[in-house]
Amino acid sequence: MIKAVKAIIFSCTVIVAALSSTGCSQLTVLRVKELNAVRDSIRADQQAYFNKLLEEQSKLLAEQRNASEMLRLLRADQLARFNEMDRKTSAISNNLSDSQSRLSRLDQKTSEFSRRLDQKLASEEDAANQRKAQQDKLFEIAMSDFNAGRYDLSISGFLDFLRQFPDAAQASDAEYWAAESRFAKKEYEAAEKEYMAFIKKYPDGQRSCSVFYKLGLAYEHQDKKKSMEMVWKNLLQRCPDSQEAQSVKARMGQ
Amino acid sequence: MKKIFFAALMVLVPALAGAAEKFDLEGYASRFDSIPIGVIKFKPTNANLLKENFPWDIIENNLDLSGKFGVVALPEFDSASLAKRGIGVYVDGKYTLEADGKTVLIECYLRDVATRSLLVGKKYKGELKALRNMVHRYSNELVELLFSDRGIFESRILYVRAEGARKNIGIMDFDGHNRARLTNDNIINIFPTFADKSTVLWTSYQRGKPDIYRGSITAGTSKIFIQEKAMVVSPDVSTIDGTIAYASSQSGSLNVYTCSPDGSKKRQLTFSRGGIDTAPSWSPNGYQIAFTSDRGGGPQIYVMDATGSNQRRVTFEGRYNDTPAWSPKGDKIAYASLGDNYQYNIWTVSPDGNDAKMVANLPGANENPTWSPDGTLIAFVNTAGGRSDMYIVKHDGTRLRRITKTGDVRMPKWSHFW
Repeated sequence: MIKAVKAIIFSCTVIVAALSSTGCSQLTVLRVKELNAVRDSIRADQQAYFNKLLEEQSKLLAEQRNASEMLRLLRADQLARFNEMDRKTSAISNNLSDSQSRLSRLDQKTSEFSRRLDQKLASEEDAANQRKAQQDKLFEIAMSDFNAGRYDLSISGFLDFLRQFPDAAQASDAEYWAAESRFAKKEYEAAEKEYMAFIKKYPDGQRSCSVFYKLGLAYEHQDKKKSMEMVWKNLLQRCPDSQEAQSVKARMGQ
Repeated sequence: MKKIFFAALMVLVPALAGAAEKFDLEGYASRFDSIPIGVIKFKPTNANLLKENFPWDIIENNLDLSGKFGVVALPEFDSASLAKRGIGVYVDGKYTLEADGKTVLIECYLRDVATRSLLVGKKYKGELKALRNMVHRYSNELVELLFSDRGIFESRILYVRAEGARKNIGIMDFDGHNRARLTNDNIINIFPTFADKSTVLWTSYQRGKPDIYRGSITAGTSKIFIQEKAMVVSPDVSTIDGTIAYASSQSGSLNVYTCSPDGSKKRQLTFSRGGIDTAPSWSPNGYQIAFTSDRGGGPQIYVMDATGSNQRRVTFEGRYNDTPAWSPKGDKIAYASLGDNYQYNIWTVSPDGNDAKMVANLPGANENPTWSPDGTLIAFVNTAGGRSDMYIVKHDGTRLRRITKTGDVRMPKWSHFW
């Protein structure tokens, strides 16, 4: 609009200048008055336009300011919301991290516990295995000494076994073979005592028939005939179908 | 049997003791289960050359059969070749065959491969026919030196020589050489066993039924020893006191008995009725006897005290287990087992019935195991295609070696250390 007003003023000025330059003075004066009136009118219009424009501009500026304010408020609100969200997210994140940390610690504790438990179980199993292997080995050595006729060694081996492993499954075997070692070494008195102790401890054991028979032989070697007969009589009653009973019958001529 | 003589002349160690000290022979030997050793061809000292029984070959064969050595034989000393195989010691030597061709002197040297210095040397002189014995003696001394253990190279093996329907008792060196007849009958002679170094017991059908005979290896004489109306078989003699265990059908069934070395004090140990208890084999401590019994159904190996008490079964695998042989170390019993494939194989088991394992399963039938005197080897007979030959295998089933190729060897029985 300002551009259009400026263009009209400029056109009038050019026309006045052109008429003035033609030399028609009378007419010119009249025309100047008219032109001035027009000019003033135009100026008034121009001013009105300006005022209107200014008013419009002020309105626009006010609207703009309102819009800006609204925008600022909106942005502030948004920012506040974002901050809140951020805070909440951060809090959640912290919680999560804390939970993860706790979980991790729990995991560590669980695995440590599990490891310790495994270690404990393994060490207990190892210890049990080692103990079993040790007792098997000790028994095996004593037995191999017996089989090779090294009776002094087998006696000390079996007795050592009994000292170390009195509750082992092979304990009765160790007692039996210790007595057998005495018998094989012809230490009949010692063998007699050990056979007697064995019978007292395991009266119905798997080896009782054999031990009754051997006890009788130990008596026989010591010329204790009555004891021998008594033991073998007992054997015949207890183990009538055994090989030992057959041997006794053969020996006693029955 | 004619005696042959030879003498170990001298030990060369003292003169060269310094060299021996440099090489840690004991340390070297202790590093191996099977000692790496080289054997180099001996050199003649004159123009009279041996035509057979080459000492270096016998040494190589002895050390290999023993299972205690990893032997490499070379025609000439070659330090690079020996060192490359990780061999630290070797045997070389020389021999002198005298002009009459009847007497021989052998010199055997154990040397250090790195310096060729002498560690131990020995000289033996004797009749040429005793050459193998001389080399066996030297081999024994090597084992004693390196293992502090007795060598088995002078041990002998009794066997049944199968000649069609005839079965005679023979004897041979542990390596299958030097074979000789102890009986030469048109009858069946079986189950030979040593009573002592020069006496043999066996079962003979001389009187038309099986009895136990006793014979002298050196004198070549024999006479009936246990004579009963019933059959008497499978003698085995305790190395502790000479007590003889055998099987007899005196009671109506075949059972195990013992008697004194002179045949007296017979005692029945098993009492099967209608069954079979046989093939007794003494434990080396003379306290127990392994035997075969069918009391549980099929024949299985059992163990009992020499008094007959404490009888217990020790084999549970195999359809038919027989001919137990108790190891001289006392820790194993070898036996022949008929497996699911209906083939007899050689097995071992601990006297407590544990650790049963197969040690030989050649095609054909593998039977009659017998232990070397040191308890490391098992000799047995393999019968395939109508021929029976003796093999040796280490107790763990390794180092199987064929000993005879004549096809007529049955029931071997290895001698003890006397």
